Amino acid sequence: MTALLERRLTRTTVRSRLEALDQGTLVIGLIVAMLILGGLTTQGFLTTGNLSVVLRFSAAIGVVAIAQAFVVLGRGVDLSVGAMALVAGQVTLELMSRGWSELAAVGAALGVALILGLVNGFLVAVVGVPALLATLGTGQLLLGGIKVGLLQSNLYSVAPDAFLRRLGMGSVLGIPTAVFCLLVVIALSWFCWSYTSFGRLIRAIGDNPDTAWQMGGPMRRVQIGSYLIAALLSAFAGFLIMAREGSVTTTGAAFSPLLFAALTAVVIGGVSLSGGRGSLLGVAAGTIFISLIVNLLTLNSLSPALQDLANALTLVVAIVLDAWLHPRDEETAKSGDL
Amino acid sequence: MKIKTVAMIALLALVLTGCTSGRPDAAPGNAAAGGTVSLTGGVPEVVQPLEVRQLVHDTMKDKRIAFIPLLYKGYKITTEWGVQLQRGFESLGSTFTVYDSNFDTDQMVRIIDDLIKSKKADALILHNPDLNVLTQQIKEAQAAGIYVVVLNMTSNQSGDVFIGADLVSMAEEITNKAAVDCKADGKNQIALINGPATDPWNVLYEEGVKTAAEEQGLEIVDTTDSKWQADLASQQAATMIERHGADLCALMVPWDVVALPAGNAVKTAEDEGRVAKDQVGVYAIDSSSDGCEGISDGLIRASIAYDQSGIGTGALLAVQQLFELGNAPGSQRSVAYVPYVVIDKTNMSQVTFACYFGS
Amino acid sequence: MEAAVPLSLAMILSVAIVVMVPLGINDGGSILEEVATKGLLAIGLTVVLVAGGIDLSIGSILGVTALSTLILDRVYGVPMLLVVVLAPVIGAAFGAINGFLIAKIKTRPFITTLVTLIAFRGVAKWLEETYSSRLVVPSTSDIWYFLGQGTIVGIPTPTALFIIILVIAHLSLTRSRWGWHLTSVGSDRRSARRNGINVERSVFSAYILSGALAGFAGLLASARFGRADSGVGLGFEIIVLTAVVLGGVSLSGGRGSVIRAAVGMFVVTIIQQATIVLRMDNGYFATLLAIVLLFFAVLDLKWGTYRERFAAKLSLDPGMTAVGPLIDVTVLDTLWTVNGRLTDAPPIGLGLIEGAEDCAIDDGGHLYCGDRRGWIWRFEGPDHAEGKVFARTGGLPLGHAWDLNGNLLVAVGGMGVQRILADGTTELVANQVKRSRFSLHDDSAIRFADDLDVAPDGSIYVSEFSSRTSAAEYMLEFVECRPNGRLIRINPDGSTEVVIKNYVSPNGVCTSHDGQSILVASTGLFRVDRLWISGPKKGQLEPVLEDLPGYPDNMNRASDGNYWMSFVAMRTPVSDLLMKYPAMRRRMTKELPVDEWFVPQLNVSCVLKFTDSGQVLKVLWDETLENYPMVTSINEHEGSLYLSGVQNNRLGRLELDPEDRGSIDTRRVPMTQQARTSFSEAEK
Repeated sequence: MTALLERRLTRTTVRSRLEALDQGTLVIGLIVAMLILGGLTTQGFLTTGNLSVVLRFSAAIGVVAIAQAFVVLGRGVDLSVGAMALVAGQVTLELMSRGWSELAAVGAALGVALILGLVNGFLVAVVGVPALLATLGTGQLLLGGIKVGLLQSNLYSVAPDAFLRRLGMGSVLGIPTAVFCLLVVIALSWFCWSYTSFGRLIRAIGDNPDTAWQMGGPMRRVQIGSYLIAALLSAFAGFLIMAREGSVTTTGAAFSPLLFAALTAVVIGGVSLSGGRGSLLGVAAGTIFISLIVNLLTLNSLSPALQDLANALTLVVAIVLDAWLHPRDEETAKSGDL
Repeated sequence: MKIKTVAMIALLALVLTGCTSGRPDAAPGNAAAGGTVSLTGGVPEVVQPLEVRQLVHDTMKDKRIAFIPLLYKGYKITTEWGVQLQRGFESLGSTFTVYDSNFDTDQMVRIIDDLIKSKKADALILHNPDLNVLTQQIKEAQAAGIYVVVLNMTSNQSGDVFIGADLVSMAEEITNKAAVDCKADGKNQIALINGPATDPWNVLYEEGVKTAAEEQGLEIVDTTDSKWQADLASQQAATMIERHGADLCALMVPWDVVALPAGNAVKTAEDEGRVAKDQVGVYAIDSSSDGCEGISDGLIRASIAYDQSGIGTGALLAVQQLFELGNAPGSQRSVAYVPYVVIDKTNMSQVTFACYFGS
Repeated sequence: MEAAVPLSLAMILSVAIVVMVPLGINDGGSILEEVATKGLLAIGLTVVLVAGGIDLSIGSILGVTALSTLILDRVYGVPMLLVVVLAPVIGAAFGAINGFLIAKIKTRPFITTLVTLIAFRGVAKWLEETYSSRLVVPSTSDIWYFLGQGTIVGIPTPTALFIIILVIAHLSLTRSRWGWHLTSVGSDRRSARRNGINVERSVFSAYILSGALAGFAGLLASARFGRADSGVGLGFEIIVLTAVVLGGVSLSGGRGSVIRAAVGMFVVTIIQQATIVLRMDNGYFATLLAIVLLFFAVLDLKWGTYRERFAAKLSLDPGMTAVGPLIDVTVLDTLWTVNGRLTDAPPIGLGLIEGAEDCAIDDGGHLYCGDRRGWIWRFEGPDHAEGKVFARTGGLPLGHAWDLNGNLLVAVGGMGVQRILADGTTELVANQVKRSRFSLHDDSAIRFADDLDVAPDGSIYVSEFSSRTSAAEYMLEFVECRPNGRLIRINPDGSTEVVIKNYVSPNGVCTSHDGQSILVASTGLFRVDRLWISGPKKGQLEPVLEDLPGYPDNMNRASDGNYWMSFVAMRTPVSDLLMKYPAMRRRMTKELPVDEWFVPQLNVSCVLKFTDSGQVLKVLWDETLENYPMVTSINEHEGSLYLSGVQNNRLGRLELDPEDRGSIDTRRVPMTQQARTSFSEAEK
């Protein structure tokens, strides 16, 4: 009995120590360790050029991760972010190929994001459908609906003189444009999380929805707002990707790698799936962490199958850690709480 | 108790005797395709021109040809073929239908399955995504008396006719081209951004590049699988440039859809000064109008154009021949390759089958 | 019932498609084959959903097993029979990973299986990379063809196997301990745990099963298509999830049937086949799936939320009653005039008892009475000063009576009739009757046994207050006032029979002194009827008392050859008026919370004595309502009247007037020489 008690006590201490630590700091530590190890073992890893490539490729993931973090912070989740990023590019390019001006086409894509965000928010906050299920459905609906309703081609390229192209190249203040965009998004989100009542309310809802409701917070509006922001940011990430690659295909799946990368970044970065917890530092660190992993694996010529496995394992570890650090109350957990 | 046992045994015996394995017979079905067949064993040796024309038209009339590409709408390669097929078959009075599988293998398998089971086609023109996927479907179609023509992507199971590019030779040719450029720069490292391991295109291409690289004394420093995704291709290209730095001189990418993002990555690296201008060239295969744009924009240094509309026309001819000769499906198999040529900025406007639009 | 709504919508959908789309007989074959493979996934997913989880990785498990079976067969030459066994084992191993993470580590099911979806697909791709070049040799085994293209007694093998597995899965989910445990875990995890169910093991087993079924489906898929790429099963999770939700399986756990899920799968496959036959872009199918998934998910959710309200609206249907003249009990100096004769009866078990509806006294003068917490108290005779819990029924103990062997019979609300032996153990006498034919409502359970008495032949007559509502909802019966009650006879051999059906709220039951008839009190119609059980009028029902001023409750024999009866509530002019206007009562139930409903005046203590011919002799009241605010039963024993009340915190013992004392043993079953051995022997 005493032994059992002792064991429990020590376990609690290890856990509480980890819990007290900002996961962002932890991940930064991991990143440093990985940089050192990677630099020692892998040729061409620890060069400024390579690291700037990693940063540039993590820009879009970072934006989607922040989009996801807005929702996860409020104890939701948005599985339609990957679809939204893809569709934003598709819609813009399809409309441009129909002769719309670039500005109008981008506006239309953002309009689609607006509608998606509202529908997601409505389903989750007003109707009360579990967020995972609702956004899974809307993501699928968005991809399929845009494909059959709007698209006329299977492959689109960005015109070389398009303004959007510039998002993918050049630099602002010496920082690659895409990374600069990410920094702007981080700065705005930080302001929103720390200094606006909206940001504090999201956190309050995620921490304890009942209390937030009793406080008289405009629950539904805030939740809908978070899905709206998530959809708009995802669309923006879609533009970043489109600019980088110069083309968009229509054969994406609902569970896109982008979605998983963003989810992993969010969970590793310490934004708990049980809501209310997390920092932008963590999300940014998580994004860089997974980008570095992918980069290391690619540099070591690992096949995509093994890369998939490695990524999935990272996410498994992250959610196991999350479940351990921030357990759900098994007794009061609703069975349908997916 | 005894009665129960006996009853159980009886039931089991009944069930077992009622089982059939459904294994198809080894000999292919002799039944020629449905419809009225006016020609068997080919055209008569001596015949009036008008009569021959009538015979061919009678043979091809109301034949149902199904074309099942990986992807159709807006996809230039397959539409290039499809357009030729469409024009040809319609003028002969046959019914030509495109079944778009939308890059969804499951969908493709189900479409083919449906066509065989409900006997909605007399000939199938397939575009095979994977060496092993359609093995059983090709067998089943032939057993059901349906001719199978496979385009451009080989399958481990042969159809009646294969028409496509001689990818190994093409890969060798473009590698030789890269070798010339590299040697001029005094470099010898090349890297491959390839497709999935079981993709027929991927397997042959890698073989060709390896052979030629060995002959030319080039070193293949890296091989990756882009899964034919633009996102991955550009990421891999960027990583390779970083990793191999100043020694790299060529990225070999066997399809312009992934070669373009790879070229974009190279261009970005050049713009940011991470790699010397014109040090790394992207060498592609296939050149639709998008690919040609890439060449003229300097994203792709050289490519191999092969006769896409020729593949369409070839399939059209092959199907006609199959019906005219009237041999049982699966009884004879043949392979035919189309012409190709290396193109770059200097000659691309002079090659008739380069820079096709898919119409 | 609830699953009928999505399911019927689904059926309408599929019929519409079959009518509109040129689906031929050949498509039937394709559809069956497809249902056989994906249906196995649907069974697995249903089991997991019923257990309160979700499994999105089934498509990937299918893919990885399909490839594994090919590798085992073609590369390693494993005997085909062994491969058939290994396929579900491999699937189960992957399922075990899910199960371990979700049941043991307690990660979230949705997100966890979303990740393992990617991970397992990664394994499949790795297998493909490693082995694909060696998979091209054709299979040599007949079993391979038998699984893919063969038949069993004319049915295609996959379909036959699917049907067998479906039946087994259905039986285990609905008829086995495992299935019940799973369902309770899914419905309410906390209650399941408190009832001693091993929640972790149940959840774990669900994921193992789902994996094993996906593994077997993988074997069938690779036998059917012979595909050796890693893309088999890609995107199946959404298709199967939609099918299962379409089949009415609840996403919130605890509700669902594999058969209905299979029907849902059938509908979805018909839709898919239709899109293929019509040569539609697969975007249409994806869009349609998403719409159906969202629609039915919302339906499931909203249906769950509003079901009870909806059902209550449907089920509560007040009836109109013509009421007779009302006797005014406030008029002075009549037989009925309110008095205080009960007020000073000394209490028994004050503060111990919570709501004894009825009581019984044994040979030794010990008093037994029920308690709304499910207990039976025993107060030691003759002064009844000390009491202890004698037996536990688990339900709401109501009427008491002694049987021919001197054991105590108790009508227990919610549990039927129980017999209590001398050592305090209980045994079930009966809790079921034959379900009446042509009735949608399942009335086979004795839901609300209220009072009982024993006839000379040893059969027990039990009144069932309502066959529709439970004891906790007795208020609904007062409002509805419809013939929902029954009088049930339990024969000495234990068989049961409904002797009066469609009776308005039968309550008190009492065998007449001559043993020829049974008196039954109808609370809702303020009357007492007599059912002849022998003699020339056997089987006939005739009135004894009508238009009583109150709502009658239990009845018992008096020692002078008459009967005692109590009122549970009094009629008032307003309650009488309400009886005439059912629409008004319905509106009341819709617009007012239960505690504001107008029902007959429940706080009353009124006891009366009446003769066999229906003449009221005497009426006793507690006008102060201080000590006995409600009397629901009255028992006479050796010169005392014992007053019990279902909302009182005590019993009362009133000395009888000498004029009321007779010579009959009220506890004895009339016309029998009952030897009360059991309790009296236990005494010695």
